[in-house]
Parts: sequence; structure tokens; C-alpha cells
Amino acid sequence: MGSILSREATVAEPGFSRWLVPPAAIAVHMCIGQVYGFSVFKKPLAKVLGVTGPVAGDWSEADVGVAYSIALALLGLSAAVFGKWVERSGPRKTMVASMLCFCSGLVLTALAVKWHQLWLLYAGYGLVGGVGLGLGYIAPVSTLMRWFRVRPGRARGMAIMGFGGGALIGGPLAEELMKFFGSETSVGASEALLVMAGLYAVSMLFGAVIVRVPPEGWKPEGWEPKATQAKLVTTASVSVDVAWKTPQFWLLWVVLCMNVSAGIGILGQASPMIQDMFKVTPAAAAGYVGLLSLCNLGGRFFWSSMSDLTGRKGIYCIYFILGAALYASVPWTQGQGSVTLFVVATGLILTMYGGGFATIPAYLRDLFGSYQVGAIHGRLITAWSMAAVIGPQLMDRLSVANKKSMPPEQAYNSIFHLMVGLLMVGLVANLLVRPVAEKHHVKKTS
Amino acid sequence: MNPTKMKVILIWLMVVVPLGWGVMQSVKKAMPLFQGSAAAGKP
Repeated sequence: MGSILSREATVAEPGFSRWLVPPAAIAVHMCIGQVYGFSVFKKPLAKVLGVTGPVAGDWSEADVGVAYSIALALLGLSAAVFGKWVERSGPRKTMVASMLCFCSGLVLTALAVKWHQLWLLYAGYGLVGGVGLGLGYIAPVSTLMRWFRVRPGRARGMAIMGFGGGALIGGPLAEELMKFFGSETSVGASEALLVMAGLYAVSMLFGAVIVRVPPEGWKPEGWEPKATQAKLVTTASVSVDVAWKTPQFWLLWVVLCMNVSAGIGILGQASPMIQDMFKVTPAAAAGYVGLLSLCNLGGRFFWSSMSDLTGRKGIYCIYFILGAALYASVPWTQGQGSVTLFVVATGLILTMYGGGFATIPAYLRDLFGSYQVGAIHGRLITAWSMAAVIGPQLMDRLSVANKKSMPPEQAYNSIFHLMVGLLMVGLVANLLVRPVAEKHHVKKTS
Repeated sequence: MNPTKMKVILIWLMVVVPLGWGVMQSVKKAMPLFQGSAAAGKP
């Protein structure tokens, strides 16, 4: 069993098409991306005992939401802790480990719902499932980078696009399954989670079976490294233990944290925000949330592909400057009463949120080389965990405080201005990025 | 058709079909936003 999963067993045989690797990555990412659609479980899990409505003893929606926060925190932590193991073990073993953690996390969540044990929900979805998220997220990073050296941004974007699509599949799938299994005595969540665990296990195993790493020294046919590289693109290698001690790592940490904080604030509050600002119906607000997920998905592919043309530093400058301008214009769209303009502005912001995620691995590769880029990426993802706490907390607290002193449609304006500030901090960090000093490079041995 | 190309297309379909289903669901849900019925009242 060990040998089937080992890195050696995944070395591509002659004639293998590298275009089979992106779907392997997407098959894993579109499953673990379910975490973005976890909110569809919030209301059903808050009425497990009452079924038609919450009763005494039922969990609150806030209680349920804690599982989501734990899962995102564990995503970052496990990616950071297991990054080196992932590099050593190869993508197949990691994808299988991710499948075991993520799917058993869903099974434990189903049991938590059946037995109505909140601690088991946190342990299952948050802790065990969260580790599965972290492993699955970084598993295909360096593999894709090695197969697609010419346009690493686009290659990585394809995989991370799957993560954005996870909510688009996970949300409606959970709703349909709960409708199917729901009855007068059950909300159907437990059964829905079990079915999802089974479906996701099949998809993730499918990814693990088809993934391959290139043979040592492989390069695309006819490809030769450019004689003159862009200033920020290195041909050297930096190990993970050295990389995280360099200023470049921490500047990129700030870049990712600010970009994600700005986007996640909108994602988390999207439904109440559009209802407060434009008085749309809850059904239309749900549609708006779906549309944002779509923008998140599309941006991952579009912007990361663009980064192959503009360079990584240039594309992040676009994210921060254009993002800040769009955030500053949002209160104006509300003043105009134009839902369409509002949706376009926030949708564009969300494309850059997704783009930020998808571009960062290629930025890391540019600066530190592809030697241990998966492990370095794992440590950088802690910025995401931090942002997952900062963004929603800022949005929640400020909007609640503002609603006490002003009409609800104006309560979000100061938040948008704050987001402009966060993006400016990210812009400064990005502008400070310089090539990694030669003393940090791994010495070449004969 | 070349069997390798066929395999690539089939495997891509395995991931594109569920993603496409998710995209369609989101677009369907979002349609009311751009129709008059979305507004419950002027802000």
C-alpha cells in the first residue's frame, strides 16, 4: 500500500500527458472547497431538535459558525506544519491523507448532528476536517509548478479555481440532499453529510489515482530556460527553513493577509449587506452570494493567467489599486440606488480576492524557486487563517456598531473605507518586495 | 482520435461537469437580482 502511494510510484511514464494533472488537482480542490459553502448548514444545524424552528437546547447559528472558523484556522496551521512532509511524500500520499481527514471529518460531523454533540462538530468538521483542508490545498502546488514551468500562474490558477468552485457545488448539493432526506422529524443534515463524504471520497481518490510527478530533469518539449530572467524570477532554490526567515516571505504574508481580509469581509456579510443597502429580498441576496462565488472562481483563473504576462508584483499592484478604487466607489453606487453597479463593483473585488489566492504560489516560486515551494506556500497560508479572523470580525463589529447610530444602508460605508486602508497596506508591502539575497540560496553540489 | 487525447478529454469532463452544474445553479439563483422583483423597497 505504501509503495502505491509513494512519490516514486507517481513518476510519470513515457507518453503521459501533463494535461491530466490539472483535473487531478481540481478533483481534490472542488471537494475541500466545500468549506466556502458551509454556511448552508448553519440554519438547519441550528434547528436539529426543533426541526421546523429552533427550540431550547438547539445550537445557535453562532455556535455552528465556530466550526467553520476552526476549520479555516486548522487549514493554515496544518499546511504550515505538514508542508515539508507533503514535499517529501509526494502528491498522491498527501491527497489520500487529505481525503481520509476531510471525509472522516464529514462523517464525524454527521454523527455530531445525529447525537447532537457540539464538541464533536468542532472536533470533526473543525479539527479533523481542517487538517484535511490544509493537506489537500497544498498537495498539488509544487507538482503543477514542475509540469507547467512556462506559465506557472495559469497552471496554479486552474487548480485553485477548483477550490473556488467548491462552494458552487457544495452549497447546492447540500441543499438538495437535505431537501431529499429531510422529514417531519429530521432536517436531513446528518444523511446529507454522509452522502457528501462518500461522493467527495470518490472524487479525491480519483485525483490521487491520476496525479503524476514529472521524471527527474523533465522539461517541456522544445523548452529552454530564458537566458535573461525577469528581475524577480530566480533560477536558484531557497529551502523552506531559510525562506520563512527572509523579509520577502513576511512581505508576501502581509500582501496575502491584506488581500484576503478585504475580500473575505464582503463574502462573510454579503447577504445582510445587500439586503440592508438595497432592500432586496432574501432570495435575491442568496443569488448575490452565489454570484460572488462565481466571481471568486473566475478571478482565480483569469488573474493568475494575467500574472504570467504582467509579472506577479505587477498583478498585485493592480489588485490593490483597482480594489481600493472599487471599494471607494461602493458607497457611491448605493447613493445612486444602482444594484447592478454595486454587484459589478463588489464582483470585481471578489475576482481579485480569488486572483490573490491563485497568484501567490507562482509569486513564491518566482522568489524562492520550485525546490520546496509547496512547503513555503503551506507556511504562508497562515496569513489566510489570520485574515479569516480579521476580515469577518472587522465587518461584524463595525456594522453592528454603525447600525446603532445611522440608517442601515449607510452602516457599511466606513467599513469600505477601512478596506481601502487595508489594501493600501498590502500595496506598500508588495512594492517593498525585492529579489531574495544570494546568501539564502541552496548551494549547488556536484 | 489519439487514445491519450481521448483520456485527457474524458478526465477533464469528470471535473468540468460538476463545476458546470454548480455554475448553472449560481447563475439561476442570481437572476432575480437583475429583475424588478428583487427589490423589496427603495433604500
